[in-house]
Amino acid sequence: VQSTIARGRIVAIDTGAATALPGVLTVLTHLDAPRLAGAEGDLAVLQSDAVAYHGQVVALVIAETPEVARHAAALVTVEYAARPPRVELRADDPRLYAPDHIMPQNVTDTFEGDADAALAAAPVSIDCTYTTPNEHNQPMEPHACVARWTADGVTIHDSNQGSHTIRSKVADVFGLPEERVRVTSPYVGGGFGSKVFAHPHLIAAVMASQAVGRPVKIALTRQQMFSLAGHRTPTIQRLRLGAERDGRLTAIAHDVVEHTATIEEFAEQTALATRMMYATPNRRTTHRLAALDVPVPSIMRAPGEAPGMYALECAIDELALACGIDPVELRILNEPDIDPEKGLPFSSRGLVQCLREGARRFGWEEARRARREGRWLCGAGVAASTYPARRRAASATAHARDDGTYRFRIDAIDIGTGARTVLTQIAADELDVPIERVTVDIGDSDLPAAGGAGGSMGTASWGSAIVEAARALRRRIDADGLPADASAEVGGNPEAERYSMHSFGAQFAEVRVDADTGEVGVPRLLGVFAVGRVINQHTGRSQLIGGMTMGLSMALHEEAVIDPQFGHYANHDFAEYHIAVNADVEELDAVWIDEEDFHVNAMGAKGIGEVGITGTAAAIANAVHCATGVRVRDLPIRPDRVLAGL
Amino acid sequence: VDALVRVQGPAGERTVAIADLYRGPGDEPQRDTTLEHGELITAVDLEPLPYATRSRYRKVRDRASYSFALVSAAAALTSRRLIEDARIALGGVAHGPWRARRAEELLRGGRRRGALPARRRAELAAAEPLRDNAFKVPLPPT
Repeated sequence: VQSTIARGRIVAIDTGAATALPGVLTVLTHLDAPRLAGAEGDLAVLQSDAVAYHGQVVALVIAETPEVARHAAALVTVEYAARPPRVELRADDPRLYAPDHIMPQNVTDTFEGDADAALAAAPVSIDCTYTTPNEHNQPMEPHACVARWTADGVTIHDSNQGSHTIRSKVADVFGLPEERVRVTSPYVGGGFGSKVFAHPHLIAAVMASQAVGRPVKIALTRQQMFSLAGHRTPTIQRLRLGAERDGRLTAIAHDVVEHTATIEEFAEQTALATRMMYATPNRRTTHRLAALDVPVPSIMRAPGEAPGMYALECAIDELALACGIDPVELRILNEPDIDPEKGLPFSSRGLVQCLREGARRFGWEEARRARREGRWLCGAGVAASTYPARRRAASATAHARDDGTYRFRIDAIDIGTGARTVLTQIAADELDVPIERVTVDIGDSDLPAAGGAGGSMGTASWGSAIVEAARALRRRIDADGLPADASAEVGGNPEAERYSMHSFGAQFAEVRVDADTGEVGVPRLLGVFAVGRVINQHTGRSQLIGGMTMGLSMALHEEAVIDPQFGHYANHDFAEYHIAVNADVEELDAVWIDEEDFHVNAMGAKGIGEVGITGTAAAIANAVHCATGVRVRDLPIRPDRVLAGL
Repeated sequence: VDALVRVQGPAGERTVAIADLYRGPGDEPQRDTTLEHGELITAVDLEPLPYATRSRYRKVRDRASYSFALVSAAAALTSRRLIEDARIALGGVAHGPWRARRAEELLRGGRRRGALPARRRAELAAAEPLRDNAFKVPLPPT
């Protein structure tokens, strides 16, 4: 049962009719739910009468079947003392505040030189505000879990992005030692960040199983996922760029306003990429939050870089126009020699090569000429992509049998990325044996600890542990013969102290805009990426074009509309929350330049899960401007917004 | 096209003219049609009209497939040198399908070429849009 108010208190709950329904085992509310030992924020499920957002869990019906549970949930009546909610993000909100840090552990604001003075003195400058809306991850497979208590503790069969992360959280919340919690997640139907952290339904399932002494399954409905599984904050981003007439940047200022929930802080790192993308002596980046009566925002594919690179890369396009310079050349002109924020050299930085190669393949010179073809206004745009190349600690074990087969064990996770395939391939490559002889067990907190799928760190972290385990196993076999066992543990990347490590890319979009209706189509989208060695060209390409498709969706479609009066998402289903469909995607291609970067890891491979979504929306927005002369600075680029300028 | 809608209900079958199937919001905005509780549409009868030989349907939408129309238009013409008859229905501009009778009337007896934009303006001159749907007024496709 979810709250129907966005702010206030529960005054009374009547569970009588629900409890009396045949097939109902129990109904839990804040009045009788077990007390949780260490739950905070959104995970303090049924711990108080306070309501912090529309759709919050206010009661839990446990029944023999989901149909009975749903029926009974509708019979629960809740009386509230409601207060008017604050749900709208505004740049002039007097209650904006600076968080202690932005995700994952970055400083909130940065200041180099004097951006304001440099902007005032710049021969060419732009000052534009871009906005992005509430976006929702919405993987195809909804969140679901089964919790089962035994004498040994609790076992949770779950759909997540890392079983160790979930295990730790459950142990904290229920005050259990970690060894009494087991989480399995062998197959996952997508996550896009929404399954990195534990969400309220997981806590509810564990609590309910404890209460009724039986296994309990909770599968969120699509509608429930809009308020209970995270989302990307809306952003308001003011970009000011100053430049010499030749296009050389003299100042960049990127000031971000975004939201968080009142019960839990999530500070998206929106301007992070602006700190390292281009060279300039004067730079400021700031983040301000509004704590609103909204569901808790969380990680969504490329948190920070996806909205941030949209704004930055549109602004760069606007500056190129103001200077009368090809936007490809303007970017190349402002390439930094070293990471401007960290003062470290880049381990590799393939942006210029991606821009040049992309321009050649795309036929950029020809495509960027605005033209009319029948009722269509046509044009093209370009934008850069980037994402950090990081890795986490990970451990793995390896076992060689007498029959020449090998088994690796690691708590990695395959959320549809192809991780299982790629890790098997990495192990087979390192052992130099046919892939059929290797199996890799993943997706279980009883396996050796490794970080989850997030931050494009999966292959980099797990693969490093697999490589080390394979090398150790080879040494054991060479010394003692078969069978043999080995294990390995790799830490974070010590090279991160010496190098700035990032993926890069350049995306080129061609659009056609209906001159009468403002409908935008994308006949061509090309991404050229510098992502180190691509270990598997099939799963790798799939990750990149998947990211680009999600970027196209962000550019043209995705937008959850929050009702200002009641605070609910008005379009919380797939009919009205638009995600790009097949017909929206026409010619789409992703390629990569030759790059091997052994500073990032032993495979020479950078993460590719997120770089594909960064920059896409800017390339499409820039193309729409090229085609129509209309600069839509608010995503998504809907027909009415294009028409307003035509 | 003057379709007749056959409706099966607890009390038996009845026939509703398509124009009478949809209702204004009135006091019950949750009811889109004049169907009663328990009634089911079983068939739509269409006369074999010559209109079908010269007709167009166009849907303007937020994404290329699987989305509600921002605005849609179905138009059929019977004409030789001049337009003898015209039928136009618009979707997404009112509570239900909007039969553009004023535009139809103005088209009859006129020339085909270039006739529509002015008639469209005439049809929509009295439209009273709200803030967020004002963009629809000039949108019905020609």
